[in-house]
Amino acid sequence: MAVAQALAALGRGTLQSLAGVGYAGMLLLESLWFAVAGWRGGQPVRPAAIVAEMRRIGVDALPIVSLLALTIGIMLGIQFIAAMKEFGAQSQVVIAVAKSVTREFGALITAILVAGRSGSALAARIGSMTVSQEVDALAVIGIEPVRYLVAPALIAMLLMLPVLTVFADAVAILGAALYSAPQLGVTVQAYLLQTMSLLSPGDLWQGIGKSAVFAVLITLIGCSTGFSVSGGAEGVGRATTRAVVLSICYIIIADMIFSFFLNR
Amino acid sequence: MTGSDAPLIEVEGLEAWYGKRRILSGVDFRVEPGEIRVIMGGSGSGKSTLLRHILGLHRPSRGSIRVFGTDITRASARELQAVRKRLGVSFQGGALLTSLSVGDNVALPLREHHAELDENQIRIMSRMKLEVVNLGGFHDLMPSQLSGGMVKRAALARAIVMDPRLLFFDEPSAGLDPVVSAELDELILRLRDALRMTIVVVTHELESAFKIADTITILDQGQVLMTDTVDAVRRSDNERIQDLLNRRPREVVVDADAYLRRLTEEDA
Repeated sequence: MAVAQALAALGRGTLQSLAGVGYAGMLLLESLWFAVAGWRGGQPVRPAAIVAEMRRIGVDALPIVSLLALTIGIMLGIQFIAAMKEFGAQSQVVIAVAKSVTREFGALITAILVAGRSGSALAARIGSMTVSQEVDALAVIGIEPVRYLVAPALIAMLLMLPVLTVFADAVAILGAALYSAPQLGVTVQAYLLQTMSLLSPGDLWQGIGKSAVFAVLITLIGCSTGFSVSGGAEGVGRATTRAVVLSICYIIIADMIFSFFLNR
Repeated sequence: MTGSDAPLIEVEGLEAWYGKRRILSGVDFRVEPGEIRVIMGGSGSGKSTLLRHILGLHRPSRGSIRVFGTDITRASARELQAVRKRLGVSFQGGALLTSLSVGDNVALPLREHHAELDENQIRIMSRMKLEVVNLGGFHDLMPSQLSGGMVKRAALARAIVMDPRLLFFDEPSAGLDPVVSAELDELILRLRDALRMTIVVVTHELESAFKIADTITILDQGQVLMTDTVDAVRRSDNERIQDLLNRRPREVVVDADAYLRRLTEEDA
C-alpha cells in the first residue's frame, strides 16, 4: 500500500513536471509566433511594451549588476593570485580571470541576479493579474495574454541579458585588474590591455550564448508559474519564491551542461 | 446568422467539470436580443462557471455554446477573437489593469483593436464612456485610488467602450453598499435603453435582480431550475426557488451511503 502510494505520488509528480515543461514550451512557441506573425492576426507585440520591459529588466539592473560584478572580479583576483602564488605563476592570473569571467561568471552572476529581480517580478505581476481576473479581462477584450504579457518580456530579456552579461564581464575584469595589477606590479591599463590580447571572440560568445538560454529559462519559468497561480495573495507569494528557486536551479544546471559540451 | 431575431447566446446541453466535481449538467440557456437577463443562484450553483464558459474562458466537457451564431467551443482563435470584439465584460472585482490609469484602462480595447484611431479620438471616446458611468474627470487616477463602486463603474466603462451588442456583468452589487448598488442598477437599465444593448447579469442579490431583469434564469446545483419573466419567477411554486426568494436555509438531505463514502474513502 505504502509502495503503491509512493509510486502514485512519483507518477503524479512526473506528470506535473512534464505538463509544466510542456506549458512553458507552448508559451515559448506562442510568444515567438506572436512576435513574428502576430501583427497579421491583429495581435502585434508592441515595440513600446518591449522597450518598457527592456528598461525594467536591463537598465534598472545596471547598478546592482555593476556592484556585484565588480565584487566578483575583485574576489576572483584575490583567489587566483593566492592560488597561483603557490606555483609562482601569478602572471597567469590575467588569463585565468579573463577566461573564467567571460565564459562563466559574467553570464552566471547576471542571470542569477536577473532571475531574482525580474523573474520574480514577472511571476508576481502575472500571478496577481491572474488572481484578480485581469488575465481573463485581457482575454475577453480580445488581447491574447501571452502576446501582451509574455512576448514583450521574452524579447526584452533575450536582448538585455546578453548585453548585461557583456557589461558584467567588463566590470568584473576591471575589478580583478584593480586588485591584481598592483600585486603584479603593472598598471591597471597594462593589465586590461593584456586581457584584451588574451581573450578570443569565442570566449565572449560562450557567455553570450549561455545568457540567451538563461533569458529564455527565466522568462518562461517566471511567466508559467505566474499563470498557474491559484489561491489569492498567498499563492502569488508562493509562485514568486518558486519562480526564483526554479530559475536559479535551471540556470545552474543548464550552465553545467553547456560548459561540458563547449569545453571538451 | 446574427439577424435581429436570432438569439445572441444559445447554450445547449452544457456540461462542465472541475476535476471530479460536476459543476454544470445539461444546461440550456438562450438570450434574445434586447433583453436584460439575470442569472441567479446561490453560491456554488454554477452561475460564474456558466458565465466563464459563455466567454470562452473554459472549454466545456460536453455541449455547444453559440454566441452571435458562432459555436465558440469549436471556433478558431481568430473567430473567437471576432466574437469577443463584439461583447463587453465587467468582472466581479473590476479587473482593471493596475499598471494603467483609469483612462488608459478604458482606452485599452480601442487602442488594441482600432489602430486607425488617433490619440485624440481615443481620448474623446474613452472619456465619453467615463462620463456615461459618471466618472468624468477621473481618467488620470490609478485603479488603486478608486473606491469599490468606482472600480466597478470604470470596469463598466471599459466594457462598453467598443459599443458591444452584448454586455456581461458579473455580480454588480457584490461588496457595495445599497445606495451604490442601486445606482449601478439604474446605470444598467440606462445602458439598455440608451445604447440598446443586450445585457446578461450574474448576481445573487434578489432585490437588484428583480429591479433590472426582463427575464431570470435560476441555476441550482448546476442545473437550470427555470427561465422566465420576473413575475413568473415570483409566482413559481418550485420549492427551491421559493427557498431562494425567501432566503430560507436549504434543507440538506443526507444520503447515508454517500456520507459514509466521503468519510472513509481515501481519494473521495
